[in-house]
Amino acid sequence: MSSRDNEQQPVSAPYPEITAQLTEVVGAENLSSSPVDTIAHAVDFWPRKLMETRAGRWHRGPRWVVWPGAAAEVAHVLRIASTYAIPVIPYGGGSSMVGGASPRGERPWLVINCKRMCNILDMDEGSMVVHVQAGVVGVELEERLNARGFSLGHVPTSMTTATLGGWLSTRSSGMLSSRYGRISDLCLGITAVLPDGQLVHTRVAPRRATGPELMHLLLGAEGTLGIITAAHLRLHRLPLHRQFDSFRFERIDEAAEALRRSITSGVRPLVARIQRDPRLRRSDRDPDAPVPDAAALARRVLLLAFEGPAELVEAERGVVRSHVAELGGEALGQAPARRWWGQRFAAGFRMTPVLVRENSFADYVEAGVTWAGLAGLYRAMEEAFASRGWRTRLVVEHARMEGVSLGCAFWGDAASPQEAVASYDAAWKVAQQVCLAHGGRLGHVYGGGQHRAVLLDEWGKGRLELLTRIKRKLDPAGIMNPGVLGTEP
Amino acid sequence: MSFDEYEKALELCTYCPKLCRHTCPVGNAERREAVIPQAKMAMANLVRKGQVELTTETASVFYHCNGCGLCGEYCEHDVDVTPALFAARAEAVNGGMDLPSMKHFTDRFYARNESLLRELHHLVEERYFVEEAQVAYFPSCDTVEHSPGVIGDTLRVLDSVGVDYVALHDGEYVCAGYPFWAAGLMSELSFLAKEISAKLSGYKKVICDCPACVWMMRFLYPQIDAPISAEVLHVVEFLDNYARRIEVSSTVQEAFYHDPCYLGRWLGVFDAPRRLMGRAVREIREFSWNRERGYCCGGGGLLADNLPDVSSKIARRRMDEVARTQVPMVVSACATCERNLARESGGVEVVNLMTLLARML
Ligand SMILES: Cc1cc2nc3c(=O)[nH]c(=O)nc-3n(C[C@H](O)[C@H](O)[C@H](O)COP(=O)(O)OP(=O)(O)OC[C@H]3O[C@@H](n4cnc5c(N)ncnc54)[C@H](O)[C@@H]3O)c2cc1C
Ligand code: SF4
Ligand code: SF4
Repeated sequence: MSSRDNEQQPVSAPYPEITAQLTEVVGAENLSSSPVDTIAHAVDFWPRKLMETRAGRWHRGPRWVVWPGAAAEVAHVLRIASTYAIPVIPYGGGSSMVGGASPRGERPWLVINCKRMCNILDMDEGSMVVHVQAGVVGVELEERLNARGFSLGHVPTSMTTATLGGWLSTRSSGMLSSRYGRISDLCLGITAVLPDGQLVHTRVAPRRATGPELMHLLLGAEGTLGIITAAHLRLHRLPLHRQFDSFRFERIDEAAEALRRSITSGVRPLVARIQRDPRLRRSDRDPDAPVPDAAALARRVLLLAFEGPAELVEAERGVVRSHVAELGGEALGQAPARRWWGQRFAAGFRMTPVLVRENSFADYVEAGVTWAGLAGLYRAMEEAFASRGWRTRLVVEHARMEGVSLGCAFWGDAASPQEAVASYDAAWKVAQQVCLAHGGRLGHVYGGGQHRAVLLDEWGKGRLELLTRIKRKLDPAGIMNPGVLGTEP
Repeated sequence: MSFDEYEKALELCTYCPKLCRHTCPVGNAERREAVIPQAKMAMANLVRKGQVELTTETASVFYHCNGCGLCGEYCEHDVDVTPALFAARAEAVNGGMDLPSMKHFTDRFYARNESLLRELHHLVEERYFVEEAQVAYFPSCDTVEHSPGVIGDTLRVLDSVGVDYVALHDGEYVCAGYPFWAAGLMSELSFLAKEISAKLSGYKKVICDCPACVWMMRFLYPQIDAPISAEVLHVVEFLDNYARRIEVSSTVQEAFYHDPCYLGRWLGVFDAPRRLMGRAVREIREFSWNRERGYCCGGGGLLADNLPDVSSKIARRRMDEVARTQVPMVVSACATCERNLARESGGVEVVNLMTLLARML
């Protein structure tokens, strides 16, 4: 029976029986159907859903929340869910911005909150590998590693709220990804539970050449194929030396080119960002400040941080400086980049004051783009949003050998709740069209969830069909986060 | 201080991606989504807006807060969660939906006050209770009940630096009313605050051994029409002026200093206790979460009364950090902290700063 059949024949599950079975597995204190707990799991951080709640329309949340303490318990719980075709949401921190962790529709959802599984199981300091459970909140893991002289090197803006399991399941990319890669680059092996309760361990070895790497089936699967309960992760020693640099360019084109030349010549900066000239902030805040002219508005700054052994850091800085000089960039010293570093988590707070306004709308477009398309996509995105009166803040980040991520925070106010949702949808449509026209790929950072899945052109028919076939095999009852990533609801 | 006054804070938290989750001692101890700061505030907001019914069940989350203020320290919106959640408790009280463990709270408060007043008069020689004085010492309930020696130790230390003019306040109360605030009993608090304010306004200075009492008198009383004209100080703030005069005969090799939330984060007093401690301790060890980020002992917000297991777990996290070292002592400047940490001490001595100083004189 496909999961679509489930949808058509509402599950007539014996709820008290299911509750009793779940209780037997996790214990009464680790299961709840109290409104207090169900409301706390009713929405994640998908702005569209949050906008709906302003009018009082809250999803009533899952029917059950369970907090398993070990992979074996997860396996039991998934077997029960499979038996009764109960849809399951694996839940980390609920910071998904795409609706990956919020229940939908009228079905009786079971949320499996992973946060009790939060221990470091083992640490091989010589090989610099940690084995850790997936429910640990990012910042807690990092603090524990720091206390032992190590760092994971994965620092997304949601560091204080998201979990390791959430990162792995969305192939999260942090602000240090230019140097350390995304979480999937740091992951050496996982333990996961498949929908039928089978446990999977992918072993840790420096390299394997024995068939496809099955771990990657679950990394980025957003809970649609199973639950990740633990992982082996690569560590880095806490850096001995960190330096910053900042440069101003007349246009995005030169800034992008300087960054491209640096990255493709082998420089691995800790942070590399292109953003608006911070001096413009004065004119944002102060109504008496002179209105910036077109040249000032076009300027962009490249902010960089480097870390590692002092000699390497200085060598990398030298390479960047020579490329900057070739492109006429102006050196601004350490201060602007250092200032950004000091406030590197502030961006996480920015959307909230907008969302509390009655008829506002806001979100963050993140599109992957190769170097060749970057400047064109940047300008097209900026113009498309500005021409409709929507506010934006664009940033280039997550630089890799082949390209970068273009982030575009957008926000605005509408006349009514309905218009706010319409503007929100329209903004995404615009972003999608601009990306299609300029070689951008939506969903570079936050995953697909319920939202991006419908916008992701890259999914294409063939790829989605393949995912659906895999999911049907692994999850015949269709219980795992149905509807996410474009899978059957 | 009605519930609606906190609308802005409640709204910001409702639409926040739970960015301060990691700071909350209660959330960390329970690992339950419903009790992280964001979820508690969101629940309070939904109740305020009438989108969720106020029941004993929904109101119960308002009590999963020890009032430490650590979340606000991290918050870029400067949201102050504690007063909003205490206002939500007041709403629960008004709606008859407060916790069963809060029943007859007022009667119990006054019965305890009576018995502790009697205890105080047994503890301290009558000559210390002087009506006419410039500086009055207002001892707190937890000190009298759980660390009675601290009162004598404080007087000894003051004596040793030549401050022999401090009188014990001979009043009717040994508490400035923090428990009423935390219980959401605002009219009881208002009555008590006015009584205490009238009595203490006759002094030039009032010193307290309880950081929460100081904060209440200095900052909350004026907001509820009960300002105190006297300058209200924590003992540590007062004694800091005389720190150089403290002569000790011996010292302790090393000890941790635990910042009480109300002395540290709420009153902003971080260096004075360290300066004083430095007179008696050669190496002051710092917790990984210290000063503005000091982690709570789990004793505030009536948590130890309502959720003793959670409160103990919070204390354990603090003491576990000490246990990983060979350091034998934790020093603090609040009887509530000391009591709570001592419950999970694992053999480490938890001692009040005044007692430590008195011991080393
Ligand atoms: C303010 C803010 C800033 C952000 N910044 C970044 C950023 O810099 N980089 C970035 O990559 N993302 C960022 N995000 C997005 C989000 O934090 C990430 O997607 C994060 O990885 C989600 O982790 P979580 O623990 O909160 O997972 P959740 O939101 O709980 O879940 C996300 C998805 O993963 C699934 N899932 C969770 N745990 C498991 C598990 N153990 N096994 C299987 N599936 C699981 C869920 O079912 C869901 O589909 C940001 C979000 C916010 C709100
Ligand atoms: S206190 Fe601040 S950081 Fe914490 S939930 Fe509220 S708004 Fe977010
Ligand atoms: S005041 Fe302390 S206990 Fe209360 S919500 Fe904030 S961090 Fe948690």
